[in-house]
Amino acid sequence: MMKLQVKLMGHARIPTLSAEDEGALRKSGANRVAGSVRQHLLELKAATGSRKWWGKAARSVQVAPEEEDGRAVVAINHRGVHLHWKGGDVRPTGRPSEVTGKPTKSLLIPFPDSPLRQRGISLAELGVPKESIHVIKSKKGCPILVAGIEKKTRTNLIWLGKLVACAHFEPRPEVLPSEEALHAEAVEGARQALRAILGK
Amino acid sequence: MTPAEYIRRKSIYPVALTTEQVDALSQEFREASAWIVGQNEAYIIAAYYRAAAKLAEGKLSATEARRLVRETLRAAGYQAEKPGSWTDMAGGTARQRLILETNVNKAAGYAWHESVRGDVGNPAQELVRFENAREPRDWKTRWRNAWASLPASERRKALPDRMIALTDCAIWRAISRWGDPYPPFDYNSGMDVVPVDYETAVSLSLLREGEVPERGESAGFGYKRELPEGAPGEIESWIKEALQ
Repeated sequence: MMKLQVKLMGHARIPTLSAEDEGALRKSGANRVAGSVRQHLLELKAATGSRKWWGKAARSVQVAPEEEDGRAVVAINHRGVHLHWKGGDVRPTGRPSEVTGKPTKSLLIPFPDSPLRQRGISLAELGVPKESIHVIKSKKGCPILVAGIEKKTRTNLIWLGKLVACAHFEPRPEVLPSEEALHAEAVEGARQALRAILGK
Repeated sequence: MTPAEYIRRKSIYPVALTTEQVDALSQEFREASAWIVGQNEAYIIAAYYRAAAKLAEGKLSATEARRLVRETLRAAGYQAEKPGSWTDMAGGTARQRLILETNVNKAAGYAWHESVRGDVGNPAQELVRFENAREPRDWKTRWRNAWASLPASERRKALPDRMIALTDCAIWRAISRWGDPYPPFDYNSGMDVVPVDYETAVSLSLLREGEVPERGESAGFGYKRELPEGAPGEIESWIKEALQ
């Protein structure tokens, strides 16, 4: 989960507001920031051709209810957004594999046409017995995971994905709006609330 | 309340309801209780809701959440009558996904709704597609039909041809399969909402110039921690029988 903190400070030109009105400005600013993050992730979904993942990320954006010192917190609860945003390395957990029962030593990166990617499922959920799962080498020597029984002739195989020791994600700052853009959204949200409260 | 808290505060309701019975339950009852269609084993329901809460707070991915359910059920000695079928609570991936996603999306929809309810700066919202479906529903027709069914006082809070309405408009309940004012509005629905600000709401004539939107309760959380006394009508007596 990621958290963005939105702190609305006093402004000299804002007329004296009641505590309730200040709360309304804060609420509007936080919701505006959350809405802009949702919209931004939906644009990313459209740009990448993603069917589900970025949409789920957008759905997970919430304004957390706790407020302290004029701060509101916008949370992005979808797992993996931070990794895409800031980058980093992913390594095997070492937990026992559901298929082999042995500690996991590699990450499986499904091919685009792999049933794992097409159906959004794990190797265990594919339902293939472990006797039919094999590791073969690509022409470049990369370990490839396949399912099927014609291992030697490489026919009738289901090509699942490549095995890697580590997956590296480059940082993608465009995953979230810039700090300046979020700041502007927070201020605009407060302005909209003020306009509604003043009724003009 | 965060989506995860919303899920964790539910009381387990180990009664094998049908989809039709669930549709007939009150919003209050559904929000307060943890249930799975056709399931009367409390430990199975608990396993799903535990995984859903972790998924909702980003501690697990969807794949990891399904694995947690499988491991929990197998550790408890669960054995499916028909492995791999729709009734297999440990091995049926499609059903696992439906249960977990519906609960996480419902919790997120509830939490979002509580945040925007009474927000004067964002008094309206727009229904947009967040996730692509293989066979998308015709939401525009559903929206128009719902709008046409509203009384005049509610119609002015919604646009008939664009899926935008004030947050407190009755159209949100009208488009929902369950009568809930927040998304998702149906099973496996990829539709959700984004806020629409005050000036846009005025420009779309959802509010008159100078009209101050309803503020609503700032605390907002109408969540009931106790199960309400009554499920509606026949279902109530049926549930009581089942619990005896």
